[in-house]
Amino acid sequence: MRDTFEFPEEQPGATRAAGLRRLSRLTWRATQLSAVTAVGLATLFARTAPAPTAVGDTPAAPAAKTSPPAPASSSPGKAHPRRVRATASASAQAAARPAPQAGAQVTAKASRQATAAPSKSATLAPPSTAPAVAPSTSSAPAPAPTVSSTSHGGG
Amino acid sequence: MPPTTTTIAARTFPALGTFATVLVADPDALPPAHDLLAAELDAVDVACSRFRADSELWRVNHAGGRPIPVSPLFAEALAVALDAAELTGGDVDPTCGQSLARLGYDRDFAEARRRTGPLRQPTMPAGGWRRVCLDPEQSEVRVPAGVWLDLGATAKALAADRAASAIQAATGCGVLVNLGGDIRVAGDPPDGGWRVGIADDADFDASTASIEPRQVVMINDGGLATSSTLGRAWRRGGADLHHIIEPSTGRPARSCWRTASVAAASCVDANIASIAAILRAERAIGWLEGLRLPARLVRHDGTVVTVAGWP
Repeated sequence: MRDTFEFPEEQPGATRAAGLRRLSRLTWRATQLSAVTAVGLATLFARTAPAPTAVGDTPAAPAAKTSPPAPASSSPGKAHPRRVRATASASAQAAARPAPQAGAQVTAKASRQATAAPSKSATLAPPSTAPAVAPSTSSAPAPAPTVSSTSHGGG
Repeated sequence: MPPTTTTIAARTFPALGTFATVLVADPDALPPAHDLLAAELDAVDVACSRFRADSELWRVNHAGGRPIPVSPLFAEALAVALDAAELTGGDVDPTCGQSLARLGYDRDFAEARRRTGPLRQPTMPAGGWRRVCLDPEQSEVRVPAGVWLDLGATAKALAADRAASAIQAATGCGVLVNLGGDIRVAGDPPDGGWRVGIADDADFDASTASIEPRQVVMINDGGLATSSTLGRAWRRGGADLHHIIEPSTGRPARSCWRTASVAAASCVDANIASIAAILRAERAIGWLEGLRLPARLVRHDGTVVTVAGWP
């Protein structure tokens, strides 16, 4: 009788403590699960981010950084090798640099988002071999001159 | 280094308001090389001239903000120009057309430099390259109303790249294409490489390509370009002006360099880097070093600074 009598007195404290411990564990598990879910979703969205998206009145067409069509028959040369730009890189650069106008930022962002091109190094490339001093030989042909002169445009 | 023994054939002719030269390592290849280069330059002129009312660039600039269908060549030229802006943080901006026009460079340079009266309009900053919409799949371009493109910073270099590749592919021999100083080589070079003369003063005669080089270098691949505040300079209302524009102000750049020559994997890259070097002034040294682009920079007093292995 005494045990059964004493048990109800001890039971509420023990039960409360056990419940609190359980609640604490559940809370911690829920926090861990939330964190894992958040990381997983972030990774998933990051991988699928370049899907075309229209912003404002900007066409959702690919921007300037995608591969252009083949040159016209009237232009015999090959397309320039660097036509592809990494979307993430371009977006990062667009975000890093101040745009002339707010509207411009929106347009550029939309253009970059519409670019579903594979990543490629975006930089000015050096030559395979650096220029070398030319030997001074009397029989050598006249050098091809390089000096600033523009075409019909500026620059 | 052994003396040059390869027979090199060359032809020079006027084009794009300057000169065009093609050199080939096989004399038999000269006629087709000339024809290919001439065809390329004609196509680029029709597509990208700022002064021809029948050019695609003219139609785009005067479309009032409407989308305009363009050729693949124009789309490529604009893509390269936008690349240039992105790669240089907006320093080389293709929307400087209005800026140049307001500085008096609104017609062929030979004619523009003859006018010396005061400017009628205030300067105008670049329109903002990020506002230009290019849709290569639809072959459409839309430029905001009032913004004028100018592809002069990259179109000529692109033409040199394209022409050199086409000539090399068609003839199989080594070739050097020089468009007003924008140089691209392709294929096997002659013994020792291609000789290139570096000039950095205003006495260069662009119509005849005559030169008194300050230095002669040999290149075996890629491109080489020079930009200068002296080569295309003019006076209006007593002010000295030149064609390298600071996009944020719409005025000629004030730089510690009067000339920048850069070698790169392509003529386009070399030209972008040389223009950006002028605009970036002292910062250009570290920038070019970081990109490993061999360069020769000349200060206004004639002092030469070489970068990244330039001889």
